Amino acid sequence: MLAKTMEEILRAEHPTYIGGGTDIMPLLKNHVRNDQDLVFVSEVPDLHGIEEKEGYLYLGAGERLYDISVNDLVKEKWPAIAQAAGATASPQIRNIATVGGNIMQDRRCIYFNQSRYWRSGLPLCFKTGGKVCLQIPNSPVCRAIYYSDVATALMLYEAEAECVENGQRSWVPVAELIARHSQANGLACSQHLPVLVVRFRAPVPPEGERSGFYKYAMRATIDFPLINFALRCGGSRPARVVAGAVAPEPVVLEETAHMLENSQAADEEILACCEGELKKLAKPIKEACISPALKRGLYQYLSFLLPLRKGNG
Amino acid sequence: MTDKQYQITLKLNGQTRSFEVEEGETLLHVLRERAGLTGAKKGCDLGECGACTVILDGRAVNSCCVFAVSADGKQVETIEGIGSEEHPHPLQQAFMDAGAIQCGFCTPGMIMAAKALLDRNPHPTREEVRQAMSGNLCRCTGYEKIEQAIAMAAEVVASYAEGKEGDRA
Amino acid sequence: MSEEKNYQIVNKEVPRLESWKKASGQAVYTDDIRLPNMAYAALVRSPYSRAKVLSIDVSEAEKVPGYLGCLLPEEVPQEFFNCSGNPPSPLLMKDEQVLTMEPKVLGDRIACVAAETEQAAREAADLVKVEYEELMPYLSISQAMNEKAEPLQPHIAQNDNIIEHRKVSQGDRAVGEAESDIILEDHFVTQPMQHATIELTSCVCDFSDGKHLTVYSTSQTVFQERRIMAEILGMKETDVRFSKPMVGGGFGARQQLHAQHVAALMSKKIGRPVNLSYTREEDLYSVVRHGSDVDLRIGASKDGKLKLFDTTFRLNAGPYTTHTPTVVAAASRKLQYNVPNYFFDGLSVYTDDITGGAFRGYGNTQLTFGREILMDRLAQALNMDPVEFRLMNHVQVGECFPCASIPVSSNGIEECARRCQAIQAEIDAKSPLVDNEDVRQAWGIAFSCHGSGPSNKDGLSGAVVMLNDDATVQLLVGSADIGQGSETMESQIAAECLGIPLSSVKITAADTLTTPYNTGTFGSSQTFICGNSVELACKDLKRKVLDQLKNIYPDSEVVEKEHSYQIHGSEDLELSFEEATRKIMFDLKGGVMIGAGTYKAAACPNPFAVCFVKAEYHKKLNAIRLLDIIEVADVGTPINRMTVAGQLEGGIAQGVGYALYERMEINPRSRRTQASDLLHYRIPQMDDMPQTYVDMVDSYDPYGPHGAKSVGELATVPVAPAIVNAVRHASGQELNSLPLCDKFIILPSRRKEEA
Repeated sequence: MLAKTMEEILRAEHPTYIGGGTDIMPLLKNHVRNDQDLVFVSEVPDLHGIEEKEGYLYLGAGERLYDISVNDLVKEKWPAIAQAAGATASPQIRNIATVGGNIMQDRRCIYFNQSRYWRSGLPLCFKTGGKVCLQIPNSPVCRAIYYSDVATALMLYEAEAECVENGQRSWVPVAELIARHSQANGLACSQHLPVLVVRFRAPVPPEGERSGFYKYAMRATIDFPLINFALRCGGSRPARVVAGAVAPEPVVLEETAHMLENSQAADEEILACCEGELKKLAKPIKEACISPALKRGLYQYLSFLLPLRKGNG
Repeated sequence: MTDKQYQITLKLNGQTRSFEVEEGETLLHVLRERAGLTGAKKGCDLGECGACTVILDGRAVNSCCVFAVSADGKQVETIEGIGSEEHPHPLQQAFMDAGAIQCGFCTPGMIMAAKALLDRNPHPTREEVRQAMSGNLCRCTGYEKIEQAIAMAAEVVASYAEGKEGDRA
Repeated sequence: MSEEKNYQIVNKEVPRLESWKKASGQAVYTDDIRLPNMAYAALVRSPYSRAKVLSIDVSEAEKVPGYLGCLLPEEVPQEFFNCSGNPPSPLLMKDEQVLTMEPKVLGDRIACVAAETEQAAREAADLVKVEYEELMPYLSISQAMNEKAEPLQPHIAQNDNIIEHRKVSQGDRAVGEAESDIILEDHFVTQPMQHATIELTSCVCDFSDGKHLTVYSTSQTVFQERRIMAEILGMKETDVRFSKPMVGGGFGARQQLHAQHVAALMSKKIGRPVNLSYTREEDLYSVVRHGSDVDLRIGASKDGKLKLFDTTFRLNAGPYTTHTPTVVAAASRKLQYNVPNYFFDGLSVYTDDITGGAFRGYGNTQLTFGREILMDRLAQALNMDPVEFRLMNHVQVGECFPCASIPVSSNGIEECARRCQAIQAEIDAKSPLVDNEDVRQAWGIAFSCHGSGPSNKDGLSGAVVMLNDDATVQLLVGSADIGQGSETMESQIAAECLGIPLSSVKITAADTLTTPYNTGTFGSSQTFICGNSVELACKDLKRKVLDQLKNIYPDSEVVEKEHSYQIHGSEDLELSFEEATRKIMFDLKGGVMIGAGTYKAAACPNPFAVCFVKAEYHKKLNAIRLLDIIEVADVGTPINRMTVAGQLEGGIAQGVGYALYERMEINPRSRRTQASDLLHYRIPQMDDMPQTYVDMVDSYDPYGPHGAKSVGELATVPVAPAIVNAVRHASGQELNSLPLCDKFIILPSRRKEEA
């Protein structure tokens, strides 16, 4: 159903909320989901708008990634969000995919993102309604990775999401939303969170803070990240580092951030710390295009963001 | 997914057209199977190759990943609607002149992605061209002549915009 | 060597004749064809790489709305065939069936269903319940060659899994070893690569009446496909028509039957035309360039003369022979250096991996990979320049490649190398090589050659040119334009021969109903083989025109001079070609002028290419980035300079993908394909490509039409080894396998704005 108002959205009984639809379309084609009630939400005015108000950036969940990536306000004050939006998927997908849909995207795994034919002859995994993780057979939960680029950036700025759930509207930290989403997303789609994300907000960064986003993917576009980082430093609030595409949700690198506070620390020390911290926090699985050893090598690619320490990034 | 039917109306290459579609149906399916426009191609059906690129309300999209239902009421431009043999679009002319066409299967998607770029940004740098076009795969050309063609067409489009060459755009 | 010619139409930059159709979306590809009452078919395929089918249950599929019918293995012809679009040969063992109860590779065809829509057909195919007994597949050459391995095709290889063992040699191994002051050896491994044509494999078959079959399909070899199809179905070739619509790329993937036989049988069964089109996933596992496993030794004397070339060359065929022994045979004839002691030991090996087939650079890519890397190491060990070392050993005009029988007829390799060096110098002048604590840049090079037409001189082509009264011509050829531009080049050759404008040639190609036989689009044949037949047909036409004029003016002397006719006798006339044609057509003694040409390969001239690559290694990041690629080729006279440049650029892009990240394999753990879509089968995008520079040197081959040789396959062969050589110099690491993403992080090229 193509909803035009919030009332129409909230009337659906077993809704799957769809922004641009680019994430769910291949999943429906591959029969890994069988959603019953598709609700297209991106034309509802409440889900739109990019503005700074009362110390926050407000970002409508229905805003397209392209529009966010070129928005001057976002580029100036929350550059990691603009950079992450601009690095997601391909130009065609950014033109229609929404930020809300991007945050609520499905986690991915080489055993899950496959056709019915490919999966035939294999047991159902947690995400397709079964009782096993085909990646890590002794894992009690799905280990698929969450590959959102924008999530890493939103978590950098400690953003919150305004959600509607069971008729209740409330603000929750994006980290918390993703944690809940990720857990539910490890099950069949009928078990997914019945949450509508209306908008996001992130506080205005303090004067002098510098921040940015880096994504490594093998090709120029389309590819999901093999790793991504967002980093902030130099302002009055604590430095912060977030990494994505290494676990079922983005991970916050607290030790690395702490070391960033020390202006005397050498880049090499920070990278070594980042590598060590990611070795603890990452939950690697087999990915199609990279070996585990090379993936670990990417843990030091935070180096691309370290020029931000000197303010010339 | 259920097999609910919806009626949608598109402004398709300037004409208003209505279609009965299923809930999960793609815009590409509507174009190829219901509207009889086979210029947009199916190269992957998963939003990875760009061969199905059309312009939806001014933006290049992969029509294989757009729900037809969500395109209701919108403007859709396809390769069939942008030029004629007598008056080709500058991009069509440039693709022919530069040798940017080999097997031609990626060509309609390439041209539509390039048109969306030039409509939005008539003076793209080469870097901007390469970034904007990287969602369109080509296996024959190595992209060199496609990039040249878009640069050539951009000059023509710009000269029209500045009124240097007649009234055609 | 170069022959001065004042060409009007060839050796120019000419846009494709069909450009407008393609630029406007009007070009009709197979899946764009809509026949009245057409149904859709989908295949039921084995998810296992080796299994036995125990039962097939169609009951759930039958419930799908729009279901029309199912074909089961027992309903189709059981005889073995070989799908390869080569002319008949004892090397093409027959071991494939239309549908099988004993799948030998993931994707093997078990059954087929038809329905009113494509979606319904796929739904029904997914719902056909097949019970399998899964067997342990042999996914690697070494597993399949293990003495305990069961034979996969016992009627071909009773005791082992070796389809064919080809030994070619000259000289004496012991002498070669003794005369070599240095011998380098290594084990080289290349991965299976998929063609990834942007158009998906597709066919529309109409066999509704059960008597006459028409096939529209993604085809490179319509005449071979017709022959094999007629054999499978027990029909006369006249009752089988293969007509090639526009084809969206081939690169070898369509030099074979794919599923036209199933679609034809389904059409017969349901009495309706049938469209059977693959998904991208099906396309990816349908055929690959063979993975290879190569032991190679090269020896040289201190002064840099090659003395020994000794290789054991193993190709992973997958479970069906298709092209493998002919690919191996082609590999044995591609050594462009003089080596007195040459030993080629080639093995075609059955496995349960994805079936290997034809791929641009047939038999050339895999061996050249190791060869050019080892040549680089040898040059370094001998302290010689890598270009000069190769040039001093290169075969010259009049000499033969090792174990080859036809002397090289033209050779511009040195000019190619010098032109590359000139471009290299310009690049380095603008951006000198960087070598600091983080980044080291370096150049790597490779040489390559290919043939023009199949290297066994299988190439054969007919051409017919029919003259209209307004001096335009209809040109009929059997060759398939799959995007490489052969229809334009053949029209150019005809126009040049006849002295008429290109717009006066109307070509019809690749339809077995209306065009003369052509071996097919493979082996980089069409410019050389078909082009020669077109030239002969045009000469025949001109001779007939002259004879006819002599008939019309019996008492006069008639001579042709620069495409016009001078008549001296009772009257003195000069007739333009146009006036002459009108006279001939409508004179009382008029006639219909039809020129025919047939060309059987008298030679297989070698085109040559040199490739230079500039790459950088990021020491702390263990990452590589490609910066510049230069490729200069000797293709004889380039018929269409724009097309040749496009072939070189496209060949570079495929070489980049091969070198960096493309791989199509069945993962031994999941026993499923690792890449089932274009997100995971990664081909380069526009912004992944480094700066490329291509050029062609002045050259002329005496056997070629207007002096032309081939280009298509040649273009991609030297790219991967040149990239590896650049990376080895930049990183200091010895490399012997592909793709490089196994060892390095690949940084996208992302060129900055040119100055």
